[in-house]
Amino acid sequence: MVETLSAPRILPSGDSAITVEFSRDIDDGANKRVLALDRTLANEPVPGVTETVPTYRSLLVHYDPLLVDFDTLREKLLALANLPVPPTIKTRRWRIPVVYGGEHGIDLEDVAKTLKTTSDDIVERHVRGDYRVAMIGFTPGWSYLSGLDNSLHMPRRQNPRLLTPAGTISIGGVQTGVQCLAGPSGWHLLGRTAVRTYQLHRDPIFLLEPGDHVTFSPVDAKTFAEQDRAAEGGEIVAELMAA
Amino acid sequence: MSKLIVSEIGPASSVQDGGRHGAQRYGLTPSGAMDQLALAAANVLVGNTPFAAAIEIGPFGAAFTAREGAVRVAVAGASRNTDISGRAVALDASMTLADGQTLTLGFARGGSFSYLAIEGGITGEPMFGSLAVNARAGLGSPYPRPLQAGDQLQTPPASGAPERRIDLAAPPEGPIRLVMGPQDDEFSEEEKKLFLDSEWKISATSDRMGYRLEGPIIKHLHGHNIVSDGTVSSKPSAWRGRKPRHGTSRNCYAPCPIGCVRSTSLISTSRLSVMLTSRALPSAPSTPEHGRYLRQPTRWPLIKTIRSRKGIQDDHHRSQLRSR
Repeated sequence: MVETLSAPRILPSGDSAITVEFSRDIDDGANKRVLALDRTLANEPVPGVTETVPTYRSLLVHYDPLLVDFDTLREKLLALANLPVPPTIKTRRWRIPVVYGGEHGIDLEDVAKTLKTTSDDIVERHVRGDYRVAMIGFTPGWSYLSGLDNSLHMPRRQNPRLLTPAGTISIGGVQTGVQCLAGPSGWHLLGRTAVRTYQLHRDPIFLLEPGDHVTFSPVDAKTFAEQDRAAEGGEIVAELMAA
Repeated sequence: MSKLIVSEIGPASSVQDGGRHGAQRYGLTPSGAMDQLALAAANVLVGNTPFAAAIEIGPFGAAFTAREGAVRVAVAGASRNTDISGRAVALDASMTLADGQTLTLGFARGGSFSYLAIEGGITGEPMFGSLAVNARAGLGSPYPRPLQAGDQLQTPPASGAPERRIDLAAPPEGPIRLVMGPQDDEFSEEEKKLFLDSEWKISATSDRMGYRLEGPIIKHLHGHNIVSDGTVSSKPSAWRGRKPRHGTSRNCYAPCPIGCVRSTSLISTSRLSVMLTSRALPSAPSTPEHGRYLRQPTRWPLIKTIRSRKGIQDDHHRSQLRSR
């Protein structure tokens, strides 16, 4: 069966970037098309395109306006975006250890209260998820995951926190995420991982790629502390599973 | 090697260059100079490539001393009182500090950032091809943090080349130019008009990550809890102008990109006094013409023509002209 693809919206983002938007909402199908266009542009570079940034539902394409003009690039991107989505390339599957609740996940109890259940139940629902890295952004290594259980969808906090810990695992809206560096967040903090998705002087510097699969496994605070020391020393800590 | 010693320096001063490109897909922002035109001018004055690393000096003052040899430098950008060991010197010009001499820069007037380029560039270890400081990500060289008094920068000895100066055009007065989008359709026509016709004041909480503008409330059509993949965002109570230098690579927590600042306007925007004073911005035009702006990229031509500007003349050449 040939799938008919809707044309993406081409939106100007300043005078040297174009947003190719595949959906108005967060949508897994749209994200797959985003990553497919990203791969197409990586495999067959378009002159003038300097950098691409995938997101949940759109691809940001930076370009040098002296090398290619807006109209030409728009036509090229539309043509490439309407190519059939190539079969999914082999992606990696990671298992990321998380210490849930307590001082490591200060919102876990509140989330449980709001959703009228227990903390253990929230953890179980979060661990059960089979997630995919939809995009990385905001701060280095901050990985946005799709695949959050419907029952865990919650609006973001009214008042974002100015500082949340490195390694925070949190939920916000229909998303969950792995945060690498300490920084502001408006999401609900469920736990922490020792895994550094970004670490200088380690190979690779960035652990996760958009499209990678992720699952979580609960660990206790002692294990977290040990893994944190190992990760500080450059160990990856996350498990790479057989595909 | 000579050394340039940082004798005194205020906050918001760091090594910056043309930026670190290619890793925004991992959330790593480009960093780089806030005022790329001034960076390029300072570099070209001392014979460096336009986007080589230089010292970005924030709104407060700074002093630099040459050690173990002469050091040739150039300063461009915000207007300041500047002297070498008490003797006033002109900005937008190169100058040579003899061993032991100190260059002192006062507070910025009518702008925020100045660039001190060192002949031969700054010696450091590039990370992702750039020396630019991104303190949050632990990147930058020779110091992955803002500069402090006592820091030392290694540099080749001064060449003794004739000094040069450049007549930079004054930052354009008038409205900040925008290309509307990509999410301007999250606002009604009335709200967009209100946004464009209003005067905005730069909040004291602004920084390299964003200029927070205070003014009327611009309402979203569908609430602020929208899909985050934006660049210039609007909160219910304030419009956040994106500065893509140290900003987030992707989004804010309650974003709605109503528009993007034009590259040329980024240069003039970065010259606004942000940290010392707040100042009302003139209103922007109410009918932005996307297509025309998009076909008239001007940032790169501006920078590429620096080398051929009539304003660049070395003092030796000037004095020859005068003596005729």
